[in-house]
Amino acid sequence: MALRNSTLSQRGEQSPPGVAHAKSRKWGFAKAAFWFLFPALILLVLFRLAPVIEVFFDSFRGSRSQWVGLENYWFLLGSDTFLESIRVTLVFNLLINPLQVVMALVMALLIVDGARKPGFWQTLNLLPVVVPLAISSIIWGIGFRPDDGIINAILKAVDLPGQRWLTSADQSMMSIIILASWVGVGYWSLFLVAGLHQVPRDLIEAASLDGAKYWRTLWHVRLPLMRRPLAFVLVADTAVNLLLFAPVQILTNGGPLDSTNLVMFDIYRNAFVFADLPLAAAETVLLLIVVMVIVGIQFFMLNQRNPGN
Amino acid sequence: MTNMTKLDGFGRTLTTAAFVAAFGMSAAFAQEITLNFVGTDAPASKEAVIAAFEAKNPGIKINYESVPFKDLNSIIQSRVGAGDPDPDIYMADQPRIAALVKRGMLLDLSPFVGELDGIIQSSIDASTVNGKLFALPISTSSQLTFYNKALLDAASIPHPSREPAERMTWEEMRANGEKAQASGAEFGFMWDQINRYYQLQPLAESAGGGSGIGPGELDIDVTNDGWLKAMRFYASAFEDGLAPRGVQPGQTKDVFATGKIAYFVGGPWWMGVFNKAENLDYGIAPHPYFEGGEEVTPTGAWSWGVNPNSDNIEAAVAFIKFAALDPEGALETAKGFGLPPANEATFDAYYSQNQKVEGVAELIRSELANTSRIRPRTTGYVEFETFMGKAFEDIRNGADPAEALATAEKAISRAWSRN
Repeated sequence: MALRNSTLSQRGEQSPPGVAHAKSRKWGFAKAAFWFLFPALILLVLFRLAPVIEVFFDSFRGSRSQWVGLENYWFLLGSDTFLESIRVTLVFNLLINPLQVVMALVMALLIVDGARKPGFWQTLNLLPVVVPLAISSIIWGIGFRPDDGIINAILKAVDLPGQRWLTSADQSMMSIIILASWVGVGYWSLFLVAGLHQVPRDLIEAASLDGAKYWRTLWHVRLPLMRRPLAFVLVADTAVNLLLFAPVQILTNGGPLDSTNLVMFDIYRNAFVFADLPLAAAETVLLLIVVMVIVGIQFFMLNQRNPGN
Repeated sequence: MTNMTKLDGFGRTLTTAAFVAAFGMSAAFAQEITLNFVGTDAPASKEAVIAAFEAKNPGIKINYESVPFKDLNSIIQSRVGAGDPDPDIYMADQPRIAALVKRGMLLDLSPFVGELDGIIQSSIDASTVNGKLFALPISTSSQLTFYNKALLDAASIPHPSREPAERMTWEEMRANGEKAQASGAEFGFMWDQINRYYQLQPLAESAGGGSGIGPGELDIDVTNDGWLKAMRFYASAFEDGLAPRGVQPGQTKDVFATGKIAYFVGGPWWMGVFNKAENLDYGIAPHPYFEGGEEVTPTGAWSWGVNPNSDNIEAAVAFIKFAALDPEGALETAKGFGLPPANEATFDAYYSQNQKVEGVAELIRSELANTSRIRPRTTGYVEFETFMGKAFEDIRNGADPAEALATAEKAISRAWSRN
């Protein structure tokens, strides 16, 4: 305690020139950082922010670019299709995101702790990511075919009943979740593998010296230290899944009975099939608000018990 | 020093070569126009007509880009609809022409072409909006019944006649399909474009339900008794396992080609695939109808149109005129084609190359003349087709037909209210 105080007071004496120096150095860092980030910022503004602003203004216009106020929004809020697609999107995300994050974590733990040749398993785990989503959608779509698909053939071979998969309003969302997770889990586990490697070894060793076994170390030492990568994966995964589109467009067109009509697909249909750009713009603004609210809640909850961050 | 001279000489040659290359190329670029052309046909099918046109029009190159049918309309919408000059030319799906014109996405061709002699009238009608021609008819279409001889023989079912007068009914096809399944066929019968309006319009028409649109172009009626009857029949084929669920249009032909199904109601353009299929012995018969109902077959196909924002309108118009109207050009167009041509002058040449199956040409010509019905011409076609397609897929997957049709009717009216 005494030592610390004396150090502080020593620093205190030097503080005027030191602060000035630190300030100018800080300013220098900021300037350098700005110029390094500049190209990326320009792209961000041009390709992300500008379109959002444009979409925002377009959402108040009609088909001949005339000002229509909130008309597009009223139309959407009075549309069963749109409200149902919001509901479907929320349910889809409530199911798929926790599932993918947990599975990605299990995958990462298996690779880091369990695998003899981590590199090999890591590659295998990442392979689905390399296949374009459009192609894996088509392949899974053929596999899911209820009457002559390979998945039902396998089920029947082990005396299980065949399922309806994409052709049933009750199973179609689950089928899309399986397909999307086949790709997503491998990708997100990549970040968690990196996160697990960053947990300091001495902490794990200290815990084991104190007599903690694998699960206890995992639960009380490693997972708390994984808060940041887990938060990143959850938020990024949610954003991706709120905007999921390809498998729906390729396989179900939102059906059966609107059971897979995710908002992003509805926007696509309004914009590029019906050429109703103002309506699609209004829908995009509403989706953006939903995304921001959900991601905001996630950030809030993940940061709550973590003042250190 | 000698080395230097050598190098100099070499350098000079290089410079001269570069000069010649640069000037030569820029001269060529100054004259050359490249037209971009987007469509759904395989690139090979366009090679003949493009080569013939380029040979006659030095300085114009045509760059053909093939996209999936399902995506064509959204690609055209996102490019032409956004005012992009590329593509210069595109394949326009005939029932969508009215909607494309309404959105200003097709060039009015009436100033460029006079009378269209020798083009099938239904194709001209399908390319005309308010008396003006907006695209040149290239192809037409019809549908046949294909049957698997081995599967019918195994169930002792007689082969159906090729004569339009002895056309099978849907009821007969279903009963025979069940028999064939009992004798080992995996499926009884199915449709080619299994959940699309093009394929299913004739069912409703034959059952007395009409096209679903009328009397005005934005009046919808798909909940009448005829439509219900047609859709109950359609639903039962899947419910009772005669036809497979989950198979997408484009994958259906393979179910027939691999010998899994007794009857396949589909396009003659698949004959190329069927002829190559191993162990498939098939025959053709006319498209079915409902007992006591009208005999109706689907038709309509493609016209080629020009992007009004194209930088090379004259060249683009020259190309589609060559491909559609010029006797030599139309023949080249018909060459690589699965679909019957819309230009009558090319009929004989087209059908003679497709004579592998006896009687197919006569049958198609007879259907085009007597039973074919084009899809409704309405500016609301895109919304109509989209929501009907959704209803068909829902019905196929087990939704109640009456409910699905009512939902579609409501959704279509609501979408039209935006116009």
